[in-house]
Amino acid sequence: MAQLSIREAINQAFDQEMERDSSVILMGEDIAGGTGSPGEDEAWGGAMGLYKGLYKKYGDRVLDTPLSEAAFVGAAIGAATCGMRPVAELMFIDFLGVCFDQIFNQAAKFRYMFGGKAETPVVIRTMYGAGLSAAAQHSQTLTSIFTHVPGIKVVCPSSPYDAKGLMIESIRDNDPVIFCEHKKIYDVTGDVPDELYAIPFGEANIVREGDDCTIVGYGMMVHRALEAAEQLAEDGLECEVVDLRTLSPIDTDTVLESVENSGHLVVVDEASPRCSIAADVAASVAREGFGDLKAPVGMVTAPHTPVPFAPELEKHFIPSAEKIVACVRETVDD
Amino acid sequence: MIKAITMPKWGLSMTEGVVGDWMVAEGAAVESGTEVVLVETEKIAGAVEVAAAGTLRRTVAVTGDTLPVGALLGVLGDAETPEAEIDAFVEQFQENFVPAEVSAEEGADETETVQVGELSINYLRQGSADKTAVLLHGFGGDLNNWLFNQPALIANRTVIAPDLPGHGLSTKKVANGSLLCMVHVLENLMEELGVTEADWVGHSMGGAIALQLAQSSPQLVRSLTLLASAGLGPEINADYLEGFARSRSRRELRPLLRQLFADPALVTRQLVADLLKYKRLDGVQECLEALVYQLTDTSELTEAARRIIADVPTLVIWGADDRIVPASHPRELPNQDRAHGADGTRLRRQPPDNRLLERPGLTGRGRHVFASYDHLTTCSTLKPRAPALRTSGSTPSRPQSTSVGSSTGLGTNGTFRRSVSRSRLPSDADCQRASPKSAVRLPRRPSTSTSTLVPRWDHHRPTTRSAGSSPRCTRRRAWARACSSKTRPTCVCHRGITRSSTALPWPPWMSANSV
Repeated sequence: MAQLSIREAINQAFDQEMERDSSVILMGEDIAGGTGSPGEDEAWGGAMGLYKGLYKKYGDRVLDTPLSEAAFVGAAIGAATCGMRPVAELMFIDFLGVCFDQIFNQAAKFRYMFGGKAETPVVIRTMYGAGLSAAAQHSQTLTSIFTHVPGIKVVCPSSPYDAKGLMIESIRDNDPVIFCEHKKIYDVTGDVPDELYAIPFGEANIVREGDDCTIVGYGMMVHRALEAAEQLAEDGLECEVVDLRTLSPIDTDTVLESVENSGHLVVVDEASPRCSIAADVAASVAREGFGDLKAPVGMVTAPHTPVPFAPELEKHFIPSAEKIVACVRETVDD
Repeated sequence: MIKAITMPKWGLSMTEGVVGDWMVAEGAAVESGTEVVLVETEKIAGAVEVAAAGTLRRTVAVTGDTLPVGALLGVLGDAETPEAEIDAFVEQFQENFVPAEVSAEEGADETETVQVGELSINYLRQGSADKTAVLLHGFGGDLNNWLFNQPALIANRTVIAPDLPGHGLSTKKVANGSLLCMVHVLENLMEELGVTEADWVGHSMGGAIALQLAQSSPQLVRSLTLLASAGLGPEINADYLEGFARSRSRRELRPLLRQLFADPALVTRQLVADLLKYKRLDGVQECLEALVYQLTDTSELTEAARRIIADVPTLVIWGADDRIVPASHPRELPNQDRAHGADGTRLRRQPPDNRLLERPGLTGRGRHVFASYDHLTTCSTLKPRAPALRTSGSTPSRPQSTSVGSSTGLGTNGTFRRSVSRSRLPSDADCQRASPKSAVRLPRRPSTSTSTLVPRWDHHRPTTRSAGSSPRCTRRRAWARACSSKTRPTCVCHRGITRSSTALPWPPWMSANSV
């Protein structure tokens, strides 16, 4: 057991899984070198340093690609149907527009349209979220665009333990998986077993127990929800924080179970409010757990606007612990 | 009578604890063993019990206080004792109390690892006495199960608690999972650690391993202490074992774990989460399935058990409400005298030195073996029976008071399933060579669904990996059969292909040519 950051946990997952399974390959922009590519002894390892040391160890299984998502995401999907297990990096989730046909019309449909005769074990890992003042084209939370498409699995870890286990499960899974990492939590640290392990999809994690209100979130919002829960606990309101972990499949049962106990639900999502994971969870609970609800479901989301560039505006844009606290109070006092 | 209730020392590393809620009001009468106050440490949360019957006269510690080990929590006395006397007692205690100095060395409880063949075995060694005791945990457990017992035993034993193969921090390989294989590893471990003879304490599966060891390497065994042990009779709760090995989610695991405790409330989210973290490690499921396969048929060992116990001084301890291995097993052992322990424990004595202790209201299982159950100290008082060479000066002492969990009152009727007899068990001959890939698989339950090639698109529902109904699962199984290796996993659902991708050829529909 070691203390690792999410960055190191994912790097370890790549390393151990590549060592175990020779069909695992990595593809992306600047992931092999970043400072000069082949020949560099210790390269930076991709935009966020996730691939550090892997090019040296695995050589041509770590592939630098041209700046053309349309080409290399398509290539990864093709390689997957031919028996490889590629992990392609879509550096920012915002770039999905240039390669979405490959994902939602090809990868997501192969198994279904070929009568189960083809599998596409591809992982597309990507960064999402605001907080770095990276402006409107590099800061979005587009997770629900993927969850809308049947045939794609969507994963969104919030801790190093989950990041490693879910990455290993994603690589081993025989369907296309979109692995979404929030830019701001790469340096969150936690205990990570040295051994290989896989966390099954579709099981939410209860990261904090409480009886008064259920707060549901994923990715960085889990940390914001925990902050809010700490503040509320000082006033005697005990919140249960549910980390969805995977958005597709989604574990509605755990949320319902928790709401059955608490009677109050607040959903937190960094995405725009309409047709989002937050809206989906709220709708599921309203449909299946209406009898347990003592008050309307509360939603804390970003406003329905592009992500602003100005740091002050961006700070206001992202759901904060204060907004969650206010929403929980409103829900519980209702 | 005035007695102090003090902060307990749970485990060697404990130096202080946080006082939780009082469970008994000031002035209430309490029985011996009643839990009176909750205490939480960095490792564990538990309840402090009183050692004698009386009246709780004073609650000194306040909820939320952090107090050192040995500090005054409350005062136990008679109902008639005057207040002034209690006050004086408290004052005197607080004046004289000095928290024990904890040296870094004493507090250390670092585990070590040793290479045994191709396995790395993790163990915790405590104490420095000449004689050695070895503690073997049960199925799905680890050396932390002995958290309370190990420190209690180091007074006159060097106590070694290993993580058995496939468990804890040891290598997740058990070959074919037979008791003989485990014994083989333990023999080598003892050789590595320079132990020539020991008192063996085994819980559940660990008990069966200890019995097997006493049969195959009697020279290593000075005495046996078997807690809720497997291997003494034909029945075992196979549903529990198989379910534990296969479950992958909280929802599957939680109801199973409730069978381990007399008080199901002890199955906390944290307990379930910790066990899932262990079960998710690569190789664990294969190990557990191989062990289940072997544990559900220990008939050979059961036949030999009477003979083994006749040769070795043995103490058997059981929870009367055990729902995994029935408490009737040890009762069937021969030559028992009935007696009652002073604390209500049914004590059966097998002449000359074997004893069976049985507690009503306990399942004999739990996160920590018999939490705060220090009957185990009696294992060091068992007198060797074998003639001559060995001597022991100690006399058997009455077991100290014990904790009694609340009984669920659940009968065991119908809970146990007699294991199916199998025509052939895997051979032990090459257990050292065998790799996990050759580990014997449990026979899968036949799929209830008809095979179909319609793919599933219900991604918005959690997929159940173990369901044998998914079409790709059926296809994989057919492919695995076609590959015709006897030892190949019959089906690991859609994970199968990656799990063993280094060893298996690509199935036809995955090869480049066919796409």
